[in-house]
Amino acid sequence: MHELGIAKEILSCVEEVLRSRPGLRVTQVVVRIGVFQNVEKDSLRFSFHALAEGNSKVAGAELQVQEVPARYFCQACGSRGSLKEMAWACPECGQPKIQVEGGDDLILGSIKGEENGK
Amino acid sequence: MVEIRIAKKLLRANDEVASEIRRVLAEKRILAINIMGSPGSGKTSLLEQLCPRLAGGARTAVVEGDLETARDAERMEKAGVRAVQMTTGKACHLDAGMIRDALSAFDLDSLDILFIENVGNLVCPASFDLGEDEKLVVASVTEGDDKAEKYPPMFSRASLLALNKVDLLPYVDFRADRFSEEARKLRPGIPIFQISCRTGEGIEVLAGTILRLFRAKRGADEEGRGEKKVP
Repeated sequence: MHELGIAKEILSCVEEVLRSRPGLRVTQVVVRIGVFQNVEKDSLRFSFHALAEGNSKVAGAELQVQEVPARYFCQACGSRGSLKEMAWACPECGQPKIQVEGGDDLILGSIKGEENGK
Repeated sequence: MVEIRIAKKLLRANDEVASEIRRVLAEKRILAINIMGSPGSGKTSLLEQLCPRLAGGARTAVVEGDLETARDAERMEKAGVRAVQMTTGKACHLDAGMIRDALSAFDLDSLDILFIENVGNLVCPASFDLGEDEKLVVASVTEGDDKAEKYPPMFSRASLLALNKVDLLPYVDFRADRFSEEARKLRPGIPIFQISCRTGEGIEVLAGTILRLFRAKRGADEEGRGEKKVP
């Protein structure tokens, strides 16, 4: 949900970088998003591309969305692993004894581009 | 090609404000309950029923969220409950900033339980932390028994679940056992209260649970501080 708002913030972070590096032309932006953020990747890419059109140094750049799973630890059977969606019971033993961590990332990871012909 | 590493967290603003609200509520020993559910599920009706029943044990107030009109706040005031209306305009959910603004309208020293009635919506409100202690989801038997399966983020984050309009169960194809089973797949052990705001069925039990949660919070807080008296 609210992919447009997230896309706006990504673009404004990119533009902040561009202010200190005016020679940069952005070709790729990488974001890392936790599975519990309920972000629709296609909708986020669409919003980002539409907004990026307004800035010639970002227009056409690819938005790469890396999904970050959550992690769990089961106090009943001791298993550990990653989760792609919210769970309260252990995927291994079925007991509702798991501790869940992470899955809530929303991070602008990196920007790639060409600068002064490089 | 150059690569610039950034690692900047996005949309931190809401979580930061929510943490600030949580600190204030802990200091003032106020229990906050975020009430969410579809439009028409009976969120306002539930508050009209609950607040008078809590009156003997706790002082309550309500923050009402709606796109337009102050109708819900007027309904609360009629029921004798202090209410602040936040009209969200075009926003489909309340965010922490709106709650921080609303809090300034209340005397927090004479408040025990704050209800936040979110905008009627089973999607967006699930993603916004308001600094609350409990998330109470209100579903109703006229909505169909598949709502938990269809909106997992909302139901998996809920801590209390009220199933409203159970007086209509004989007239609709709603299987209460199926609904409970699906809800508990998403959130094992979640307390489910079968209620009817029309007949008053089950409201007393839910009110009792809320009072216990309030006393538990006050008790836990008092271990560390020990001043404000339980009314």
